[in-house]
Amino acid sequence: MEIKTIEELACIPVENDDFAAASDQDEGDVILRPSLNYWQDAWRRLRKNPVAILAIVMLAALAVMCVVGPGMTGYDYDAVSLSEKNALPSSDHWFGTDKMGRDLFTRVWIGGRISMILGIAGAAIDMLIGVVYGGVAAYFGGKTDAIMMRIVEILASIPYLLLVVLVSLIVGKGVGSLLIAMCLTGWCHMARLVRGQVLQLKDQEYLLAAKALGTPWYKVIFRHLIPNTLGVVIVAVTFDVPSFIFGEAFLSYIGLGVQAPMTSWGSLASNAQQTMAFYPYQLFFPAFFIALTMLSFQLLGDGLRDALDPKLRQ
Amino acid sequence: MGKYILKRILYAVIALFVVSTIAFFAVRMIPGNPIEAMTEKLPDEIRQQVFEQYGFDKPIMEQYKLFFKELFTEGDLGESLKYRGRKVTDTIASYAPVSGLLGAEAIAIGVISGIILGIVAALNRGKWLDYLVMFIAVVGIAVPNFVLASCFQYFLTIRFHLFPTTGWEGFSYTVLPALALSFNSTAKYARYMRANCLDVLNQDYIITAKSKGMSKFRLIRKHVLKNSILPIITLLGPQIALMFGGAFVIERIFAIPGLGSYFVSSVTDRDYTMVMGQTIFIAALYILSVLIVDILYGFIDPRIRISQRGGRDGN
Amino acid sequence: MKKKVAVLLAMAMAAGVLSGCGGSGGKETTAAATEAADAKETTAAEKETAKETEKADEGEKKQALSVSLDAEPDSLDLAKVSDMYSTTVVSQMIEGLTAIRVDENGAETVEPGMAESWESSEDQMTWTFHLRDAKWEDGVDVKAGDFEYAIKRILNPETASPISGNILFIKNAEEAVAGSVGIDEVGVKALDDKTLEIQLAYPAPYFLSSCAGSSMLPMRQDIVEANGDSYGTEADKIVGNGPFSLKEWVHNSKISYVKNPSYWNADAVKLEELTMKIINEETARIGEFENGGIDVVPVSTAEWVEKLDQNKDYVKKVVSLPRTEYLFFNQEVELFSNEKVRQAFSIALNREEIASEVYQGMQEPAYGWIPNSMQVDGVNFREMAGEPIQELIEENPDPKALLIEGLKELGMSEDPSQVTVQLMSRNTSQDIAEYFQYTFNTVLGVNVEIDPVEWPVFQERNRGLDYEMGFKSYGADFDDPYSMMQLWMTGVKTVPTGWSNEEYDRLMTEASQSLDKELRAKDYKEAEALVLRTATICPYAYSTDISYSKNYVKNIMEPVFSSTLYKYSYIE
Repeated sequence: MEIKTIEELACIPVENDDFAAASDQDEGDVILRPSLNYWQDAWRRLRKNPVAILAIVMLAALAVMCVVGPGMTGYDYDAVSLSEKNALPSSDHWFGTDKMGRDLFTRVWIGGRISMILGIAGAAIDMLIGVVYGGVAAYFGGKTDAIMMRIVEILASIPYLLLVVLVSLIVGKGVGSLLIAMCLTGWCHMARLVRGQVLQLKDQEYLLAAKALGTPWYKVIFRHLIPNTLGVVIVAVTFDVPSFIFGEAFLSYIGLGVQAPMTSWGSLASNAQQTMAFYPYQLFFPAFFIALTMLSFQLLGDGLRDALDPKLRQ
Repeated sequence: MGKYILKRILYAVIALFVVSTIAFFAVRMIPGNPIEAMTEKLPDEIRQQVFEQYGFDKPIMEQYKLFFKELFTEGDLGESLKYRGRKVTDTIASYAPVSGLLGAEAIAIGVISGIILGIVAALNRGKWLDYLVMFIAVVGIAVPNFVLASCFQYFLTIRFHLFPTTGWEGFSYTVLPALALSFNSTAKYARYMRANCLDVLNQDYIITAKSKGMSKFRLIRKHVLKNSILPIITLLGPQIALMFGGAFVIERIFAIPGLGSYFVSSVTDRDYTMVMGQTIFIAALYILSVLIVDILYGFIDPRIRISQRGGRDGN
Repeated sequence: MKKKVAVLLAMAMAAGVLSGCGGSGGKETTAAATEAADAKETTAAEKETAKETEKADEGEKKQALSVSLDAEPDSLDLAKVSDMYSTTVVSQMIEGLTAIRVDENGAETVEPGMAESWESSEDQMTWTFHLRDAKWEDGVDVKAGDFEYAIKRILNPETASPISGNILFIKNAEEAVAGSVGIDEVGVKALDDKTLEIQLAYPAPYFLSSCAGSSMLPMRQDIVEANGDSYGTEADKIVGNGPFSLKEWVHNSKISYVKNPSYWNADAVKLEELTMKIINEETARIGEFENGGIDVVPVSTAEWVEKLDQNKDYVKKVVSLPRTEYLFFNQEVELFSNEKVRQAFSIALNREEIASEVYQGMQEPAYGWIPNSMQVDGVNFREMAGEPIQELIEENPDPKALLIEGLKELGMSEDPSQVTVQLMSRNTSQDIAEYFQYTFNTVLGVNVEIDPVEWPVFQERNRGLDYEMGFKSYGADFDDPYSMMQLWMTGVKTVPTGWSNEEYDRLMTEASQSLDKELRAKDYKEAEALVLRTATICPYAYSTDISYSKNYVKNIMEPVFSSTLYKYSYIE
């Protein structure tokens, strides 16, 4: 019981601050100023974090390489040259060649495009749907929550392999259909996570007060609840990016991924896995760039988390 | 609480029914059918006969009714179309324990080491230990598990004969696959744990408690663990079901007779009955684990339990 | 409060593990228990093996052989399945009327099996087999009726057996499968318990080897009927009469046998134990082999061949398979209705490059349809028939010019870069598809789109003529050109291409029903040339099988047309 009281006491400064800002303003300002402040504030703090900035620079560099990299060597990503197959990295082929004699440097960056697009777009879609859905479900609670969560359960329990095969039938094969198939159920875990967090927060006094003062529900959700869950959500998003990149790799492994001669980091790695004992560099380069991308996302995620967390604002 | 659980179980049954209906039609909508998967040398008459044997010549709605009639009256999921004569239920019963054991081992390793690493990192925020733990976590997330598994297999069993290469005949056979499977979740849990610990550690009441002279160890046990365990549990539910379906690559590489590798081949072979059976099994497992997680939520965080009762007791 | 939290925490974790067992809670614990028991057994077994190895140095070796199987057998009820894994497993435990013996040079002879002796009528249409006094594992006599029952069960339309096509040489078999005559009209009859008479529809020169094959193995009616649909699904749901008894079948994991003491020729069987480990992944298989987990391993990657070649303790074995890889065209597609266009695609392929570079020497280049390993009436077919595609290539040195000619004939744009072709490919064979894409683009200038599909879809679209061009491989079931060549006869829908040729049908019918060896050879040669010169199909590689065994493993027999046999194998 003692703890409970302390906990409640602890909430007061935060709630006063937030609450006051939201209620004291005129209608127009309510929407604009505080949220601007919030993001400006976040950006200001993110800039001060050297690790996060390094991550941003690394991601930008990877993105730039994905755009210009394939053109740098003068090789086509699908140009077969059997006489040069499985060549070691050299001045001709910076990352070596694959078993069809194709330049791996070019292929790594072509594959990077697919992986990056899949990972970022997928995670963004997941986050958007998941946060809104989870937030709404938890805020309203009761029947709404129960029904919404049952829908999530049903979606999440359909094996995703079935969906991939099915979607590729309807939409056709390609990056788009992979993305749709993986997002179709991918957002469910995000929704559950946000719901869990919001449930934890929603009965806190400052929210009850906001509600009592007639703040509309969407404002409560988007102004008060969601910013408070962002820490966890951002960490989850940084995990979501790899799960998309790996999801695609898994599908490549069973022959349902990106279709040849197009490639992705995941499919480069899964192809190289079979001859790992002989051509480790074919596995190393795609795996290295997957790892580098992940590392950058993680560090950025950490930075963002610190920057966005309303509890760390003062 | 009892009424709530009962209601949830009812929901679960409805959800299962919806999932199996979706799966029933989905699997039949996919091009290619199980007979095509059998052999290219099948004469047309035989093809027709096999079709009739399995009732595929009947209208799809009739097949649908028949399927659920058998499921509800006899608890029978039918026979595999590829492994002729084998009962779907028997097949699941023989493969699921293997996946279950492997999954349980992996989850246990993942959760325990994840929680410990996460706390260590949070307590040493900004110090080298934090960076070390987070580096391990990043590597765990960044390396695809099939890469990890093949590296384990190549170096630890083929180069140095520390473990058996393939098979499933005792504890030593489970070590490498469970490790490979847990690496990713260790990292996941460690990061969540760290993020949440930091959250909690920044709460004013913890600062108060600290200033009152509470020891670090007690602090963790008393406040941090309790408050940061929630997201871990949310993650755990789906993970359990995932272990059954998601261990495909690992099971393939280590030749483990589990459900994961079997599900993939059932889909590629268009083994309708097997796909249905496994979908229902995995979905049931998933829904059940979510249910358990939700109930545990109530136990661990009283606030949720209270709000589910629809009121707030004065405290 | 403190304690409560700790307890709850423990509960949460326990629940996590517990709900892992979920639907099969009870089973989980038993599995874990068995697991533990197994572990003990294994360590004991390992110790034993270690002891055995020590003993081996003193001269005595344990007669136990471990091999690998690439995939789980579908069922041991051979009437219902057609995969090679099932037949391999059953072939060790059930013996047919005859048996195949392969000598050190790979030459195959037919020796007596369950039948002690046999004779045939002059026209080779009626065969009478005299069975020896042999017993099934459970002590019941092997009777002629077991063979009659098995063959009729396969041909019965109610069984819908996928392997009925293998024994259509039996009188009225085709009609019985189609349902136009009763199953009792089929030409198989047990004259008494020890005498079996088989009448043929046509004199099949390969009949006696077929008697050893998986489609004519005996079955016990009482066991089949007692088990119903589940016959052959578990180790204890089938009985054998062969050299080994099936002891255990752990699905998707391993199959173990012990020597069958009641086998009629048990004295010739030296192995006491035989184990097949089911391993899908090649790297894992080779790992097991190098670790001593298995004694024989098939290899399909050139890098591994190179590596294993260096080890002097391993014995390499290369067997040419009766299997050809080929491209085929849908002739209902306008482009491929033109012969010149198809020929251009056929000669555009550099078959030497495919064999040496894409397959890295693991396959042989193919210039004919019938593979090197096949014969026609005792004469090697390829030596007799030459290399039809080689001739085609010599006559047309410029494939692109030929393509343009063909495009002109079709009235299409004469610019090959305006042509886009869809190549249907199995999603598991991407390398060669990418090679085709590249080659056709560089040599012919046409664009190829790869359309990767799963096997059932491949089949479905092939059958529905819903494709433009595809590639796969086909293997012969028996040692006669007919097995490969009947595929292209009108009305055979195994690999539909929309091609139909009266001359081809005539040649094939004449050859298959004749006893005149010269005529048969001539007809088959002409028919093959016809299908290859019109480029209905373009073969590009013959399959080979490379395997390694430890040098102490002796005498594994690999007949070309049937399963590998371990009955005479031993450890030295």
